[in-house]
Formats: sequence, C-alpha cells, structure tokens
Amino acid sequence: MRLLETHALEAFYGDFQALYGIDLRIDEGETIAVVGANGAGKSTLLAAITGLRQTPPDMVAFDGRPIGGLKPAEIVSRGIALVPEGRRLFPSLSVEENLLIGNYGRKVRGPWSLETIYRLFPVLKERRSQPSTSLSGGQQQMVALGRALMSNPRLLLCDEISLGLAPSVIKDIYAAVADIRAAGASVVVVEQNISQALAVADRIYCLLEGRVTLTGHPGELSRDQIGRAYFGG
Amino acid sequence: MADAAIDASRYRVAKSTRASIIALAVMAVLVPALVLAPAVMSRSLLQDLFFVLTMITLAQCWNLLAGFGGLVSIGQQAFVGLGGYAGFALAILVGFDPLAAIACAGILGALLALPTGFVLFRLQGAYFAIGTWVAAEVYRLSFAQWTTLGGGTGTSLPSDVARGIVGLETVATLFDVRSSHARDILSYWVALVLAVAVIGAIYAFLRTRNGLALSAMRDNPDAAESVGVDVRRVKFAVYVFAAAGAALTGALIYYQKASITPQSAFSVIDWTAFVLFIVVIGGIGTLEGPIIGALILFALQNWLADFGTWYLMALGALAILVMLVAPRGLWGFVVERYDFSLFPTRRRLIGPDTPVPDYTQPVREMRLPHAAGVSGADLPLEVPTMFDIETDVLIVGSGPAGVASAALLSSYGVANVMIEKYSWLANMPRAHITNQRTMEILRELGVEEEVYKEAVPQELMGNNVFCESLAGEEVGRLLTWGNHPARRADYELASPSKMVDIPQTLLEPIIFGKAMREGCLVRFKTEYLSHTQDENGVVVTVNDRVADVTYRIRAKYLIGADGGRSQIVEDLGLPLEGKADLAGSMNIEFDADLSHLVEHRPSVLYWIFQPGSAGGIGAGVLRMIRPWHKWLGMWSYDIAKGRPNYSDEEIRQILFRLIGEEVPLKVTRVSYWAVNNIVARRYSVGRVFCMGDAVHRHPPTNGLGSNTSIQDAYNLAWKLKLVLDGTADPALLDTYNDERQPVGKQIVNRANKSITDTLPIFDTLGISETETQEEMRRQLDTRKASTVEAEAQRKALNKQIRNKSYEFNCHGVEMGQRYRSAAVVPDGTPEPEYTRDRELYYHPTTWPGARLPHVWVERDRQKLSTLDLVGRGRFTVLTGVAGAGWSLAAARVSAETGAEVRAIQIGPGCEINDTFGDWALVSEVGDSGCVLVRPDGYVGWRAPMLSADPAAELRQVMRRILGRAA
Amino acid sequence: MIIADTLIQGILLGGLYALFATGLSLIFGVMRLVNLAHGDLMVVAAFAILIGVEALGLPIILAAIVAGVGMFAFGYLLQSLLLNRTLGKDILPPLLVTFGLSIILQNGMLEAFSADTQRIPFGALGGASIALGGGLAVGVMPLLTFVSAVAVIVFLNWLFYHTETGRAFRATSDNPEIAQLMGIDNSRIFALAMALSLVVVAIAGLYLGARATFDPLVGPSRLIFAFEAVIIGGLGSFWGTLAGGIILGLAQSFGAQISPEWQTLSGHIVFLLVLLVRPRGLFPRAVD
Repeated sequence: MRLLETHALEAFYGDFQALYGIDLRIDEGETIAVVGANGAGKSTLLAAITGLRQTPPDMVAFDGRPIGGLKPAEIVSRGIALVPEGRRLFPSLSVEENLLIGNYGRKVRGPWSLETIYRLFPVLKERRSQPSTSLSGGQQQMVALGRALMSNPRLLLCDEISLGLAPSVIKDIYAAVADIRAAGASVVVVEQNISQALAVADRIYCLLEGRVTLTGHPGELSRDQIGRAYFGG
Repeated sequence: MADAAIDASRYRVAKSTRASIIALAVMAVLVPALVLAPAVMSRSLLQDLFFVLTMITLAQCWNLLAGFGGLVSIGQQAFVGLGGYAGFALAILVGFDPLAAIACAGILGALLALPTGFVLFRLQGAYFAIGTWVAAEVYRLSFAQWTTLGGGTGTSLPSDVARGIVGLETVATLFDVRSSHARDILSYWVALVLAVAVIGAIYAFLRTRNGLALSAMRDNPDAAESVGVDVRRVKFAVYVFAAAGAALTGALIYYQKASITPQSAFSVIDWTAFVLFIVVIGGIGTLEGPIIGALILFALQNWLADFGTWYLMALGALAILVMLVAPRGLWGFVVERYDFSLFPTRRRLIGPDTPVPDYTQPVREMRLPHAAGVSGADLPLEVPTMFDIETDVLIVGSGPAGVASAALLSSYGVANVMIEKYSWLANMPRAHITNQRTMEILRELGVEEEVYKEAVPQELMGNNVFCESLAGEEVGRLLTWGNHPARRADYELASPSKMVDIPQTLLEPIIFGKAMREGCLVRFKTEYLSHTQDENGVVVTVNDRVADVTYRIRAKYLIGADGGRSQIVEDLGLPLEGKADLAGSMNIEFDADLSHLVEHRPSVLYWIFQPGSAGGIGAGVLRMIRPWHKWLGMWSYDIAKGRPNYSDEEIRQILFRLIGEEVPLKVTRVSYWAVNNIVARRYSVGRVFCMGDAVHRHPPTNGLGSNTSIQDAYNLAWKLKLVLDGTADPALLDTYNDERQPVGKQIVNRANKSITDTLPIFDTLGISETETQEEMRRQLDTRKASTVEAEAQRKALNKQIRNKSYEFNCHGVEMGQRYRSAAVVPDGTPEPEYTRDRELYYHPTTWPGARLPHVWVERDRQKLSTLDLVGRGRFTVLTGVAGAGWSLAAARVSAETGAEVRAIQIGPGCEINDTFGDWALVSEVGDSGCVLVRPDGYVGWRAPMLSADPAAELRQVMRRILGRAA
Repeated sequence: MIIADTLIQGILLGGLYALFATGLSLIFGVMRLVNLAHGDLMVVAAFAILIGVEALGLPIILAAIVAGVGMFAFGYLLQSLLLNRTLGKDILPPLLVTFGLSIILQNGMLEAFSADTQRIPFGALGGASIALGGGLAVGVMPLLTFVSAVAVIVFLNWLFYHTETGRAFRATSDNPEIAQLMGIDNSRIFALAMALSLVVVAIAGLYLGARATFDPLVGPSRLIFAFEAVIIGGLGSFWGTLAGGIILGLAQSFGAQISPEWQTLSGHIVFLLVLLVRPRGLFPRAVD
C-alpha cells in the first residue's frame, strides 16, 4: 500500500534549483533511507514534503491524495511527523511539555503515548519536569524523537538524527528507530552517515546535487555503487 | 585594458552617479529660486512652504534615527516642544534676539538629549520606542508646571519681542510688506537654511565611515545584536543630532506661530505621527523619501483638510497600506525599479579611462568586486587625494591573522582595509585545533557562540589513536585535548571558553563576517606588489587582478599577514632563523563514511604506522574534517626527490592503506606542503608589522599555527589603536615584536620537537625500517610475547605514547605565555615558580606579563568570567572592596592620558560579586590592591595594596606602558 | 494614616493598571508584537459597553460580556487579516501599523461620539466603600478592579501553563517554524492570542469607563501606563505585570500627595528610574 509519493518534485531557492524532478515512494510499514552528501538536497526534500517549502499540489501525494501546497499544520495532521535537524526543542517548555506538544490537536490512537515513550527512553521520565535545555545532546534527540512519535504518525521523517552526537549515543538512537519501525510506522531516515542508513533501511535513495542517483535494496547494492552515487564521478 | 601600464594616479574612487550630478544641477537652480521666492509669493503660499520645509527637517531627523540608525522613536515631540519653550524663554525672559534664541534652543535640545539618551539607550527596539514617548510625556508635564510661561494653558510671544528679530526692518522695507509678513519671510528663510543644512549634514555624515557603518548595521540585524561600543556611540551621536534638529525646528515653528501650549508643543500627533507617516510614505532609509513624503502630506492636507477627522483616518490607512504593500515607500519603489539615486551614499570606483566625468556620456563605472555575504555600502574609504585609497591600517592577507586583525581593529573603530590575493578566504581546511586562548579572543569579538555551532566539541576530539591502519591493529591510545579526566579540570578551570575543532574553511568566514559588520573594507583578488615607507606612513602598490589595474594604497601602518611565502617579509628583509623544506607531506581531502571505524573512539586525529610513513609529520595521519564523513589523509613523501606525481588510483590506494579497507570514497583535493622550522628574528620594521605564518612557519603538530596567528593580531591591534588615536607613543608598537617573537620561537620549536617525539615509537616497535606490510605485522607481534624483552618493549611504548602529551595536552604552551617588554611594568616581585611541568600545565598568576587568570564572578545575576570584564580596547583596573581609591585614580588617569581605564571592584557589595571566592584566591593582591589589565587581557602591572597616592602611581605606570614616560 | 490610605489606594490603582497592561503583555509574550493601538482599543471597548448600557438598556455585566465577545471576534479578525502580515524581524512595520490603527480608531470615535467626556454608570456600587476601621476605607470599585486583575492573571497563568493551548502559545513564541510541524497553525495561534488580549482589553475598558470619565482621545495616555506596568514588571510574566502595575499605582498615589500635577509625572519618573537600574524590568523571564 503506497503511503507517500513524490512526482517530479522540484524546489527552488530564488534562482537556485535545489531539487530536480525527484520521484520517491514509501509504502506502508517500510523504512527508507535518503543518503547524500551535504547540500545534496535532503533537507529540502523533507521541507517540501512537510510544507515548510511550498510546492505545486500534485508533486506530493500522501495516502493517494495531493498534499503539495498545504500548510505544514494541515500536512502533519494527516499523519506525518518530522524530527528536525538539530533537534529544535522548545526551550521554554519542560521535557514532558515538549513531548505533549507533539500531539497538539491530533489525538490519534496508536502505540505511542507518554507512557510508551518513557518506556523507550527511561531517562526522559526521570527528567520530565526539567527544562529541555538542561539535557545533553543525546537526550535532547530522544525528546525530539519522542515529540514526533506522540502524534502516532503513519510516516516519521528523521533528519540527520545522528549529527553531532557521540557514536555510542547514535547507537541508542538508532536502536529506538528499530523499535519505532516494529511498532508499524513508515520511516524516512535522512542521513549523511551511510553505514547507519544501510543498517536500518529496506530501501535507499541516494541524492546527488538534487537528483536521485541510485535507488534499491541495501543488499543488492555494492559499496562501490553507493560510493559513486553518493559522491558522483 | 590594452595598456598594462596604467597611470595609477588616474584611478580613483567616486560616489557620484549621473543622477546625482543632475540632482546637484537641479539643486543649484532650485535653492536660489527658493531663496528669492518671497519676492513673488503670496504670504499664505509662503506659510505653506514654511510648513513643508519644517516638516522636511523633522522628517529627515526622524529618518536618520529610525531609517538609518534603527532607533524607532515615537517621542521626537519631546525636542520640538523643548525647542519651542526654550526659544520663548530665552526671547521673553532673557531678552535674546529671536534668532539667537532659536539657535540656543537647538543647543539646549542637544544638551538635554544627553541625559535623556543616557536613560533611553538602556532600552532596545520597541522598548526604546516606548521609552522615548514616556520621556516626551515627562517633558510635557514638566513644562505644564512652568507658570512663568503660562503653565498648562501656555503663552504668547509679545509682539515687540517677536519683532525684535534682526533684519526685520530691512526685509519689511525691501519687500515693502508689514512687519508680520516680514517675520514670515525671515522665518521662511531660516526654515530653508535649516532644511538644506540638515539634509547636507546628514548626507555628509552618511558618506563617512561611521555613516556607512551605521547603514550597514541596519541591513544586517545579526550585526545589530553584536554591536560594539563604537556603533552605540555613533547611534548616540545620531540621537543627539536628531534632537538638536527637532529643537531648532520647534523653536522656529513656535517663533513663527508666536504662541505655545504644552499640548500642542508636545503633541505626539503633530510632531511624531505626521513625521512618521511622511517618512514611511515617502520611503524610509533614503534621503529623498522624507522630501517626497512631506510634499505628499502637504498636498493631502490641502485637498482633505476640510474633512477633519476623516483626513487623519485616511492618512493612517494610507500609511498602513504603504507599510504592507510597499514597505520601502514611494522612493524605495523608484530606486528598486530604476536603480536611481539622487543622494548616493555608496562609493564606486571610476575606471582610469574616464578621468573626468562627462555629463553627456554615461559615466563609465566599475563597481569593485563584492565579497559574498557582504551587503550594501562599500565601506570606509577616505576621500581620494594623492592616493587612490587612504586608510589607517592596511592588512595584506586574509588568513587567520589577517581576518582577526581586521575584526579587532574594526571593532576598536580603527579604519582599515584588507586585501587578499585570491577571491575568497581559505579553500582548504588546514588549521583546525582552536584552543581556549583563541576562543577567548573570539568571545570578545562576540562570535564565540557562532563558532561553537559550527565546531566539533572538545568531547569528540580526544581519542588519539596510534594504529597500523584505521581498520587494523591499534597500538595504543592517548586521551588528548584535555579529555583525560585528570586534565579536564585543568582546561575547565583555565578559561570560560572551550577548546574546539573547526576547520579553517569555517572559522575564517565567521571572523571575516564580524570584520565586515564592524566596517572593515575588503578587496579580494588584489595582490600586494611592493611597498615604501616614510615617517608618515606606508604606500603600498597593489594589483586588482579582476580589472588588471595597479593602484596605490596609503596607510599609516601595514600589517603583513601574507602567509608562509610572505612577500612582505622578503621585501623587509626580516632575518629568518631555521630551515625550510625539512620533509614533504601531502594532504588528501576526501569524503567517506568512516563512522563504523571510529564510533567507539571519536577523535580528530588517527596516527597510522605504515611502512614508509615515518617522516613527514611523524606518521601517516587520518584527520577528521567533519564528523565522520569528511576526512584528510596525510602522507609523507621524500622531498629530495621532489613532489610526487601520483595517479588518482595511487592516491586511492594510499587512502585504502591508511583506512585499512576499501570503503567507497571520493577524493576532493590533493595538495602538497613542506615541513618548515622557521621563525623570524624580528617581526617588524618601522611601520610594517608581520604576523602569522609570515613570521612563524612550522608543522601542524600541537595545532598552534592559526591560534598563534590570531593571538599575534590580538597583541598588535590595541597598540595600533592607541597609537593612531594619539594616546600612546609609537614606541608602544615596538613591544609587539618583543612580546610575540619569543612566543613564535617557542611554538616553532615545540611543533618540530613533537614530530621527533613520534619517531621513538617506530623504533620501539621495530618498524622504522620495515618495507612491507607483512614484515611490519610481524614486528608488531613481538610486543605481544610473554618474554622479558617484550615486557620492556611494552613499557617503553607506554612511556613514549604518554610522552605525546607534549603535543596533544600542551596546556602550558597554549595558555601560559608570559610577556616581558616595555608595556609590562614589573611590580618588584620575582616571577612565580612553575610547580608543575611548564609546557603541560598552565600556571595562573597575576604577575605582570601573564594573562589575567579566569575565574567565574557574577554581576546582576549574570555569570561572567574575569576575562569578560576586560578587553574591548580599554585598560581595566581590577580591585577589591577596599580599592575605591583606585577607581578615582583610574578616572583621573583616564582623563589625563586619554587612554580609557575602567576600574571594577570585585567583592561583596561591589558591582561584581566574587561569588565563589575564587578571585580572592587567584588575584594575589589584597582587597585594597589592584591588577591593571591591558586591552589584550594581559596583566600590565599590579599593586599589593592601596598606596598613598594611587593616582600618581597609576599615572606613572600608564605613562610607561603607553611609552610616554619622561 | 494618610500614608496607609495612600498605600491602599496606590495598590488598588495598580490593579487597574495591571488590567490595562495584561493584554499587552500577553501578545508581546506570544508574538513579540507591540500594539500601539492597545489604549484606543480599551476606549473602543468602553464605548461599546456604554452603548450596551445606555442605548440598549442592558445590565452592565451583560453589556460587558457582549463587548468581550465582540472584542474577541474583532481581535481575531484584526490579527488574521492585518497584523499577521506585519510580523517579522523588523520592529517598524508592527509599530507603524498599530500606530496608524490608533490614529484611525481615535478619529473614528471622534466622528462617532464627539469629543464629549463619558462615563459608564455603575449606580450605587460606583461610589460605595467598605470601612476598614481606623478611618480607613476602600472603594468597592477599586477593590473589584483589583480582584478582576488577579482573576484575569490567575486565569491566564492557568491557560499558559496547564492547557494544551497554553503550550502551543509558548511553543510558537519559542520557534514558530517548528511549532507548525507540531500541527500548530501559527496564524491561528496569533489570532487567538490577539482575541484573548482584546477580551482582557474589554474588561479593562469596563473599569476604565466606570472609574473615571473618558473620551475618544484618552487611549494613548492609558497605553503609556500599560506599557510602564509591563516594562517595570519585566516582559513575559503576568505576575510581574501585576507587580509593575502596583509599583506604578503607588508612585502615582504618592506623587498625587505632593500635588495633583505630580501624579502622572512621578509615575513616569519611577518608570525611568527602574529602567536605569534594571533595563529588563524587575522580573524578567529567564529564557529569551
């Protein structure tokens, strides 16, 4: 069952074209990874899907219906959640409030609630009433992930969730991503970190300068193929 | 550009455009016509023109404040009313001639703006706006209590007083009109003079360095947040000017009206709302806008005034509409559409083939190339006279030393120009380790947070690995850069700032941005050719490589920050000590995801022992550029055989050997460099000062290169400032060499020593001579044996790896430099002893010549470092509870020497609270003693206790530091 | 005795100023908007209540509720149609647009109601007072004002810190872009904040009109008091705003003891003094 699809998706920053006709699909329950070097267009892709960048209506479809051009709030209320790059927690909200804001106006039944998120990240329960700014980088990433899960999204978008974290913390975060998959959501992982992406994804898309240069199942792709698609040349 | 040899003196800078030349011509006709207008005009038309002129003046003043200065005031009525009342008081009560009364009212307006501004400038943005309104209300209520001038109901100007204005009789006779009409004529003329003078003054100001800096600040809100002291001062001056303008206009308006009430004189509608609407509708932030706006307002008033309240409602609606639809107003719309300006405040460089602007031909002009990210106005050029560009300090080179000099000098308010041979800053991520001392300087510049955002934090820097290859056997590991628990405290205690890893390619733009925001003028693609110096300055010949034009820059001082192949060092003939080209090394930049090999041991550096890798900088190296996808491989080559010519595949094979497996990777750049061991014996000659790699050239071991360069700049910048503003004798500049050269020598030695410290590890492992991988593996295995020899080998290895702390944990070298020079006045105590290894450990002390120790203190619930209290171009006297005498002494000595000396008392009940009692521990002086800190955070002198005549003592010390001792 | 009386009067006056100020504080906190038409909107509300009472014959409470609902709707529309378009980094557009609005409202009211002074009739309650003994007494109206101010603040604190809408307010204030990704529609949240602010304005307008006379042009002077209370208290804290109002009220009451002209003036002077000592107000928010 197709969940999200983009058709010849393009995006511009003024005169600069950031995406050139991206065709991408995600099926229900699937995890895909979008990899690419800095500036390949990965974050722009997520911004276009979530409506932070406006696109023509028919370029993005969710659940078979066009969502391009809708306001971000309308798009996410259909069942999409984004874990933004750099975590972006709300500093004047406590840890628990940051989680609670995740399902603002969208009380969808599903596996995720405060309780299950605290079970996934027990350290957050201990710190539930602290300001989110007092947490370490890894813990903040847990809050950001939890915040996105609170709406029980059908599609979870993760933007560079390993960036700036110590490798051991990255492991913990990705272990949680595996749990999230198991609970049934479709996941898009955007990463520069190829090995991490290959480990979790059913399929990968490789982006280079705004174009998809390679797509397929991790097992079927050689490291060389990926290397070429990632770096060009 | 057919002729290569172009007469440089014909190449000049101009700010005029064709439109501005037309504007000048129109003005030349219009102004005399306006002067003569009363002869032919009816009295009512004259009064209308008077109204338009006064509104133009008020609008120009408000526009200067809000449009250029970013100071949105809704309280300018304070100064209009003040001027009106002051004029009445002086004319009626003191008996001044009305004209003199108007002039004095302007002065009074400026004087009262000082205390008013002092209070209001503590507020920002919207707060400031509201504050101005409250201040105006305070004035209104106060004047309403002045019963001599009628209190709340106001008063009229007695007709004999009004007629007392100089020249009234003459005008009345000349134009054959009654005296009241003659008064209108005179008022009109004054209004005309005032409007022209105010527009002229604002125009002239905007073309100065300060004015251009102000508009540049407005265009960049981020810069507005990090404003230095200087821009605040400019804004304050602008505020005082606008107040004087409003007061003059107010005095004139009420002289013409001949009656005044507090309600009308301090009316927010008349003197602020209308003015604001004029500026917004006409075009905010332009000189033309207020003029157009005033004419529009006048037209609307004539058509719609009969409709009373409806007219005002329409005006409000029009202003809202303009703000929403065309926020830059009518004139902004014109400018955007036609790139047309009557009062250009930008400068353009006129090509040498147009010696004189020809009005019949389009003026051929060439805009100088702009750096990316640099907005709007080209900054500070002085008016060209004999030379094409004149400035105070010319900086050659935009590496770490160059950009740091530019940022520091600009933030101190010193005019400077930086030229760079290439088209942008560093394109290779060479330097990366950024130590705490450097971060402290960046903290003063206000860019520390920006650096943290881009940088890799200290915690991820320090698993220094020695291995056969990244995927292969690990020989040993050392916790580095203060990451060992036993060293972490040393680093945290020493500084408010953290060490980070940030590639030069990311650090330079941050400092560069700061320099630009503070008003530095940069020319890229401009190459230094030669220089000459005389007793007044330096003349540098440069080549603009875009236009291939050679021109000259005159500066008072020249900074040679032109890198390891410095032409300036060569031209000066600075004596160099040491050897060049000791070994060859190549840098291979590549993209590859190596996280799986490093995730259990994140680090900046991985040292790799491979056959043939002993040499270069000690071993093969994989350096993280960005975690964990961008890398730099370093591999040495035999410099005697010359630069190798590897094929792409050979390069990939080198990387695969370093990594130990064939991962997907992409090589992005290969470059070659040589290990040098060179320091200049002198850093300066006359008015030319060299810094950075130009005078200390050494391998990257210890990561000291760019750090030392930035610290060189910090040492020189304040000295240049004080000498340029006449506060210090040029002799102070000699101390730059005396203080920094020994540091350069020390770090060059240290960096080279660190290379040789690696070699014993090869010997111990028995791999110095191995030629194949298998042979090396066998040798590596010997240390695993259970023999006595192997145990000795293990022991030796352990010791040699630990010994590498002299490269990677060399805190004493990073932080503990002490200066000896004429700019440090000894206090008679002997130098404190080093209780631990002086290279590895930093020893805090306030002994003169040492860096001020950092401890945390508190002001107004705000946690501050002692280092936050000092710097920013001024001297600071830190004293204790019983040190009030030093405060008075500091104030007196500041006034006498002209050098700003700020006194700060630290202790209970003082401005700064010594919350943890740490200052008491490290200050090494008593509560009545003091520590005099130089602008670069170094202790210049200290006193254990208050002396009999602190002012005399401090004066003598300051005179010595400033090179003015008798 | 005079001192005690002045103290009580001053504190109660502070309640009125806190009511003036709370709506301002609310919208500044949520969207960093400075509304220069705030004072005029209070006057609009006072006129609305007056019309309800005098022309339609409604009981005061009902008239106030109707005005409150009307102001809620007006605020929502004002923000969604006009003010949302002015928000951004530059402080000038919102200042100028609300200043223009202020001029329009003042002159519109002049056109509609003339410059005559008005008062909302409160009947016997308006002049009633409660004796405290020792010659001291407090007016019922001032007391009611103060209680209303406290009630409004308690309500807003509850709303901000214990409801989902409050969380959305604070999240939007922190980072509007990311808030959108939580399903929060910023323009709706801003409109809601302005609507709420104008409900508080309606309550303030009731007491503005009932405790003293007013005319179409008094808005700006009341706005200044409101600003002073907000800034003295420190932005972002409703209780701080109450404290700011009380300090201003006390300053004015004691000033009035010197001479009537000094009432307003001493308030301004205390305001400027506070700014000199603590430019961010007495109780500033930690974050921000």
